Amino acid sequence: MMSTSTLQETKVVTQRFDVPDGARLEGYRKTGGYEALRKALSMTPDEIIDVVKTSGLRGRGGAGFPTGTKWSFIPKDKRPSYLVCNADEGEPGTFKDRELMERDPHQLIEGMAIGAFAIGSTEMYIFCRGEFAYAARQLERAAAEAYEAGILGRKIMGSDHDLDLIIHRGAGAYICGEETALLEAIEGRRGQPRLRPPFPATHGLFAKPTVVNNVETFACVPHIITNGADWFKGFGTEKSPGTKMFCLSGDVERPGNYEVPFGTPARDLIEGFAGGVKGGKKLKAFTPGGASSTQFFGPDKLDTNMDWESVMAAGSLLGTGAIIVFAEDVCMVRAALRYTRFYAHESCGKCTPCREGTYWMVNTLERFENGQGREEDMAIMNDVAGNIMGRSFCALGDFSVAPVTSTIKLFADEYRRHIEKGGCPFDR
Amino acid sequence: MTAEQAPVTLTIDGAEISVPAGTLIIRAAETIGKYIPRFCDHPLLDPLGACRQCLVEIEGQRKPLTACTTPVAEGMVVKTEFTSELAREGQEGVLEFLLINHPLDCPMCDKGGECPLQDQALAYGPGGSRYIDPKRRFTKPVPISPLVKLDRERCVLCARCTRFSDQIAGDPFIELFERSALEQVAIFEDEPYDSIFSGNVIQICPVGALTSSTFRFRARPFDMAGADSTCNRCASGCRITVQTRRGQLVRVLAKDDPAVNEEWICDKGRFGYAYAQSPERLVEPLVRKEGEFVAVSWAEALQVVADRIIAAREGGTSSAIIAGQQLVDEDAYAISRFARTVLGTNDVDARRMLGGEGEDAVLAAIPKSITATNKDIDAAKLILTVGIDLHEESPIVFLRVRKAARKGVAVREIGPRRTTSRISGAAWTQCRPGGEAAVLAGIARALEVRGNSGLDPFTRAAMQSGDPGIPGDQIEALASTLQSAHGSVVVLAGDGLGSVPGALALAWNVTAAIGGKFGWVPRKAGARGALWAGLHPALLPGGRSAASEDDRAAFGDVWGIDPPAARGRDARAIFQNAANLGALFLAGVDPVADFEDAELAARALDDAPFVVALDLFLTESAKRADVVLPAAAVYERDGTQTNWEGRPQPVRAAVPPAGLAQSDYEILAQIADVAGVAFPQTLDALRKEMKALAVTPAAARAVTVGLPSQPPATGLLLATSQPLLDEGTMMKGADALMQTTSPVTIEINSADAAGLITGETVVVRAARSEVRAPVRVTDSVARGVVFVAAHAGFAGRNGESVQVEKAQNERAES
Amino acid sequence: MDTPLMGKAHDHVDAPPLSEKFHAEARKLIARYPAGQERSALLPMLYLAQAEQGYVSPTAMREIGDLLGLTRAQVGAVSTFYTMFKRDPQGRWLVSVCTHPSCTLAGGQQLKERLEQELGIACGETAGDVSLEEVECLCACDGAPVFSVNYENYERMTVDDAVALVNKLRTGEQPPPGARGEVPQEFGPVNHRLSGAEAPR
Repeated sequence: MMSTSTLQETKVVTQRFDVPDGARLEGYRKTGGYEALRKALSMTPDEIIDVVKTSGLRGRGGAGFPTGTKWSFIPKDKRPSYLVCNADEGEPGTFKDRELMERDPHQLIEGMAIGAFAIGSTEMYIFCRGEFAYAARQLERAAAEAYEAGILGRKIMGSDHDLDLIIHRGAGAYICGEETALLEAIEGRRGQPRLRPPFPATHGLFAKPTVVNNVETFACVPHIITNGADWFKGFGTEKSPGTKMFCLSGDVERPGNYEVPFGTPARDLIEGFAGGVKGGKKLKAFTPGGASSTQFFGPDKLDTNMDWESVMAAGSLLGTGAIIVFAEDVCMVRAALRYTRFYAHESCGKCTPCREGTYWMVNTLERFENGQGREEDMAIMNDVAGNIMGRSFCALGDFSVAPVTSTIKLFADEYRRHIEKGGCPFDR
Repeated sequence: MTAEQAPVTLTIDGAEISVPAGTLIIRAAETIGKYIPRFCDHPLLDPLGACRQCLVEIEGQRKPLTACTTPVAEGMVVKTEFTSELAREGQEGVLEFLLINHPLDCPMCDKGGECPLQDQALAYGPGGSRYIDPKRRFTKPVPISPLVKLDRERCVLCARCTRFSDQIAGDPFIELFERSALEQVAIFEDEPYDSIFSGNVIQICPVGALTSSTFRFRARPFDMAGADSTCNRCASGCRITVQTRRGQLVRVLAKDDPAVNEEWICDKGRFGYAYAQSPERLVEPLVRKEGEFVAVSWAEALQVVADRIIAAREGGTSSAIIAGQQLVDEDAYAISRFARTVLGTNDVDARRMLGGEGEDAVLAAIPKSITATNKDIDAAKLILTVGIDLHEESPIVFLRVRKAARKGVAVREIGPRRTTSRISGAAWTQCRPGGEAAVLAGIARALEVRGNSGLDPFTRAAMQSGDPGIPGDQIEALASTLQSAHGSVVVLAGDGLGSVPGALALAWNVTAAIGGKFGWVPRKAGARGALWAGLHPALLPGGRSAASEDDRAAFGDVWGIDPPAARGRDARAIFQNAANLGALFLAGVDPVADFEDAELAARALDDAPFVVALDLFLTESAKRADVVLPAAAVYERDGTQTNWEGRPQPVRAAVPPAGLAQSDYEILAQIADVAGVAFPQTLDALRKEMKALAVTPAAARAVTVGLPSQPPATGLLLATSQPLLDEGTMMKGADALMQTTSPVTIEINSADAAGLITGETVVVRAARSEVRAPVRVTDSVARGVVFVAAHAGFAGRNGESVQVEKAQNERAES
Repeated sequence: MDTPLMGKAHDHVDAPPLSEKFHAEARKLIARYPAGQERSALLPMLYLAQAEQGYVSPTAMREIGDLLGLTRAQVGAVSTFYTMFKRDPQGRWLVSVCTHPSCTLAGGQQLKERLEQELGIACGETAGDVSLEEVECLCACDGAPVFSVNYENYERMTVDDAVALVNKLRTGEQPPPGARGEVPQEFGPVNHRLSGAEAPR
């Protein structure tokens, strides 16, 4: 991606993207690949967990849970344990995991292998989204190379440790990005989230101790092992250390993934790296963390620092770091409708608020687009959203209300224009 | 008290309570009479937390939590909608959501009036809906089986039905399909909801989504009267509520009894009541005059019978009674007493399967011994079933064992056919029909080798006989498993085992030797009561022996006379002696249809000079009688029924007897009265005697084992048993239920199939009968065995040699 | 009368029994998982059946149920949950169009409507060699508008060029390489790959 901005990315997990053959074992090794794993195999599991903990690495899949802490929850006396990579990227506006798997698959395998060793697991699963045909092929090619080279299989890299990798495909269900629904899918069931407790750390895959982490999270691990916790903490902020791939899309000149330290202002990403709003239009709104950002941001929030605590303080969620940009001529009601239809379609159906509530909100928003919205519908939808938020079985319900509540809050006038016009007043 | 049981103190709506650790909040609230609204929660199903109706506020938590999935914690402060705005809003919100797509069907929905959605919407709902958009529509109703109809529009997706089918019944033929707003309960297109427990989902469905095809549009709950009774279709002993509307039986529901059937009954008990009000019921006494039946008054009929009895006594000819196994306890006792004190004979028998004296020893011991109960099944480490198909013979016991297995209890089965595949972890040791005794003897030998010194001399003698034909390591494995569960074993045996010489006694003795509990699980509801009553040529009430002077003496005070000492004739011998009888009584039994040797029974009834039949219907047997007396059905009278555990349970009348019918005990009491013999005339009088004759059960002790026989070594042997849903008399009128009976099937092991493939029509030829049906080649049948699920008309005997061949033309008939 | 929601009701078209090859590969898939966890092979086997028959047929559901010791309802419960298991036979090329805002702002909705017009079908239907569907975010938003042919992405094409590509598919031509430079295989082989039958382990 040709960047004409003066800003420079901080390329940690994306450093191999432009290396020819970076996705092949030879190219990977030439750039230091699998040295972190070699080093890790000479450490103890506790030491590895300690380094990751100290580094402050937080999950990059949206929840931001401290990774080292998650790994430390695995009991040492219950085996087998499983390491699972959540490669079911589905959050609208997010495309970092896909690119990581397509362009640097060995990095993911190495990060997972280190994690597997740390939790005493000899079997790793990558749950890769069904639609990611090319990414999965890249992973399969890399896995074959790794088996061939003794990096996977029996007694890997001359150690006493066995390690197998199974690439298990999703089949078209966003909810399987929720870790317990993901485990259900691997076990051959409907992808509906499980009751917790018990937690996956003690009763995960096949009722055994399991760690589930995101692709980008695992991608950070080899670099932390190689360079140390302090090095990692040198990037970003105290509560959000390290770098992050932010996904810029929508009405921007240069959509793409940009890896920057946490704390980088949104303006740098949108106007700097991504070249600003397409066609020189004005910015109407953007999401800090994909469609599921609990609150969309207006232009007044452009100077928000992109890290977990700052975004939360500004009233939203960092989530996956998917920044979708909407220009001034976009109908926000129509956008809210499309996202709500997404949630309604992807709702697993298990719990009442999400299943019925998203259905209700879709119907109402459709009426607005067709010119049959009513003033009171906005208050009703807010109330419906309030009855979903915090009441549903899993976070999908919570996230489903974001487009509705934040567009009503920020763009109530657009809703009213639909009522006045008796239809949609926008072209796009 | 373990740490697990140590009580936890918490506050609910300001009230402090103490409950065992691990209790869910929703259950804890119930202990103080606080009902938290719910749909998906059910105390017998694993918690789900899907409907979100039971939201409560918990101090310190920012979100409301579901009370049905959250266990109590020390010091927890819980606020329900009584005291918390958050909880109230949460609950109202969920109800509003549930009602946005729910159709306004109440006026025509069966559930109206007993509907948790109606009740909870009224009590906990917002009072109105703001939804104005179109509701979700589905084609409705959809029959998912002949008995159950599904209305997907009404469904609130609580998943009680699918969880019941999967977790409790082991019949996951209904499942949730699709996702999001299209999520719906469904069957696979050509795989209907084929489960004998299917009716339970109608009862636990909290809305009118699952309705009964027999009850559809029949009655509102407030229009019905009901009686709490006990089912009599098998020996599980389920508590039921029998409901009527304007004197018509309209519905049977499961009644909650945690110790017996929890909240479940099978479809036979639920849907099979129609026979009682069939137009074919006998409603008045019939006396044969000049070859034809003539309706007469009770006075005349009783006189005819009494005269005959007196004449027989004076003429020195004996009489006999053959009784059925579905009589209530008091009727069974009355028959036994009638035989001994009015007819002066021990020629009384209630068994269809004619075992041998080896069976007698165990049958005599059962009323006097401590035997297995449901509680023992719950607490066991190992459950062994021998010679029984629990699913077909005692469905609710099957559910109990399945539940135990889900919790990790080991289950083992010995028999010619695998019947425990739906029980998780159950292992099957195959043997040929008749070989069960040899297997048990082998186990006894192995136990002895393992140092189990608990075996008795009778068993030791039986152990010497031959090799069971089963690989030694399998016998070893069974013995080892039994030994390691010493003290925590339940052995369940059925009617079938009694027909294998030596087997019942060996099973009884082995159980005693390993400190286990023995459960005799007969097919019929009245079997245990009949046993206690002494409907047996050698046994007297209370398991006493006719041969024992001391035992006979116990009756002197109660009956006024001692019963006869000589062992009576069993049913076969009674039939063989029929021509010499003064009077032959049939009480609640149809030997021509049910007995193994139907031809013998028919001939006997024709040869007997005078036959009196007490029955509900003019059966093939009753048609051969001289006097037919109309008996009351179980829904028409009070009484007691003792289940397989030995637990007496109440039977209550829900409707008056049909026509002029009377209970069996009443009929016999009146006959005795007319014949001038003192006899207890009322239920109370009978019960008083039964109480006086009660025996306190003691720990089971070993019994005499007859010598086990060896089955023939070569050729295919027949294993046959009746399915639960048969074509018996009491299925009359249950049209929808009859549509769920399975067609006759024939099963053969792949090693014996000799080129036959599943689906081909074959003919099985037994000595007196043959049957033609599609075959199933399966490894769930023992090698050298052909299994036939017997329906009416197939007179094959367990253990007999048979031939199997492909049918010549492909006409498939049963 | 049943409510549609971005999906399609069953056509209930049945198919012949699955082949020996299917059964052999299915057994290998089952063997990947620990003992007692054979059910994990269910999603892979549904892909395998789809590879052979172009959709998940009732026959396939029966046979898979028998192989895994599941009732047909249990198999159907899973296969109807996931959108990538198809209810009726698909064409050689499944064209999936994303209509989320990032893609629609770049022409996605327009593309969908034009394709429906050109092919003469609605999303969820098949015209000859081409099946058309509207999908959720394919997570390639930097390439908006995104559509895929048998899950091989085509990105940043104009609506006209995209329509022209799909029209070529109808006339029996092979598709050009996708956005990552590789040519999509036909629906059958793509599903075979999805089953994991070709994975290293």
